[in-house]
Amino acid sequence: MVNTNRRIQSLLYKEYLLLKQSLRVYGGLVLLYWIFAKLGIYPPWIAVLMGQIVPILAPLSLFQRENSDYLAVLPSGRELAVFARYLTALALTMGSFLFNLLILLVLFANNSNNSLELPLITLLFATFMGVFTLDIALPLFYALGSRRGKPWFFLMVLTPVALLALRIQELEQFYSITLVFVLFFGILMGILAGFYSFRVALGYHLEKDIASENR
Amino acid sequence: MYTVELTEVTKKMSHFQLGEISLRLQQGEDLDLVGKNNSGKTLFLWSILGFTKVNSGEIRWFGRENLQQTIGELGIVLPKLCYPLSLSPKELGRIFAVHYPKWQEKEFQHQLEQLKIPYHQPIAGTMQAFACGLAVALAQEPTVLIYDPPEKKDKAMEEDMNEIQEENWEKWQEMLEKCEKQVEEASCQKIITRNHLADARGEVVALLEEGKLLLYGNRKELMENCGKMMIEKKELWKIAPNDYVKVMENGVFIKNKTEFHDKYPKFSTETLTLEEVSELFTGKRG
Repeated sequence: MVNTNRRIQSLLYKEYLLLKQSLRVYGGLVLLYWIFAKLGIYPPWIAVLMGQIVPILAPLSLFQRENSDYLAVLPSGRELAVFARYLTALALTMGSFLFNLLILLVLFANNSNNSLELPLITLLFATFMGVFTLDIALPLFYALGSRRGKPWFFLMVLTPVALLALRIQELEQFYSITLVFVLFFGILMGILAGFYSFRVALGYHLEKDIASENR
Repeated sequence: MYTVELTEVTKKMSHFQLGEISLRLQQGEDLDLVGKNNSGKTLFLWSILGFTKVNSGEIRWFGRENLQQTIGELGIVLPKLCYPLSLSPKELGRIFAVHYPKWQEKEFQHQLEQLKIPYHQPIAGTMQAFACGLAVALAQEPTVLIYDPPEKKDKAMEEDMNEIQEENWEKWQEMLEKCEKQVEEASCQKIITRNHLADARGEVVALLEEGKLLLYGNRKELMENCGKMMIEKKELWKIAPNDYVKVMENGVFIKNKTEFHDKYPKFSTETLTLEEVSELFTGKRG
């Protein structure tokens, strides 16, 4: 068990190293979105939305062949490699949720011009969407591969974002503490569903023919 | 116990077929897997390593069917298993040390030094990534080293680096020579792919042509026993097709001169040199 934990930790460390560069860029972008929101260029919910969408896109590069194929030779097995990837993506989504929530509270809690309701509900909705996107994206990428999975992935992420952006004012009308709880509950459900999604993804990964284009 | 045991293994791809291949490699015996480009050497390795599902047949490593239980014993160096270019060997070493119980960090650094790969800097290009793969494989103290150097016309490599021109290939050759030296020095059992039979060094040789295993066995015995039987093409019908391996100029290539002579006493046979056999199956060396 100790060995398994250490192996997962090392795989998480590897994912972090591979994402380090992208994370710096994405981190910079998110900060920029918040600075613009603070300056009043656009309302805070836009910064929240962008800040939550960007980390969903970050793990994309992990699925490239050069970042994946060699994992097949590790004696730890492919199961741990897929699990570490799922944990990385989940940690990014939930980490950015906390990060955005913190910035929202620090920058706008005492701001009388902006109500916290809309950004808060946007944050919860975007996180809820992010967790479910991850649940679908993981098996999708393992089934189709990085290249073929990408267009579907973008469609999956951008469609709800566009819908949310178009209907944001209506969403504000529905704001209630019940909605907050429903979304929060939805996020937890999404995380739980992730374990099923991980199993499906692993099934695809084990079936995958790494050599399909080789001879 | 055998290191690897294959029973009637076949693998069908859209434009290529491997098999039926049966062979048994004793522990401690080095195997040279010989064949021209696109003869199926890499596909053979992918198949026996479980990276592609075979259509039929059985594969056992160290007597076990479950490869995952034994993969830690294998040091695998294949062109497609290059490591991520954004990581440095130091970072890779830190990761692999956890996964390989026999990991030798000093050996890893020594191999990198020999291959002239910086320890602290990110891997520069697919050439270094491949060589780094060799350093990783040797640092894990494998029971068996599986080494498949890239070929210039290897489709897999072309996909990764379109720029592979003569000049680049020369650099690759330099790196591959260094790798070859390290492989030769390694004390473990080895399975190595080669383009020319004359380059084979191992006790056992397996010769692949268009996905079929033409020759398999002890290299020295094969060379002592094989030969050419003198026969005109129009007289070929007199010999059963299974009794010869390949038609060559003014004759046919046979596996065992003595057995052949017993069966066909009227036909004369002659001994072939290693270069002649090599040229027959794998062409002239460039």
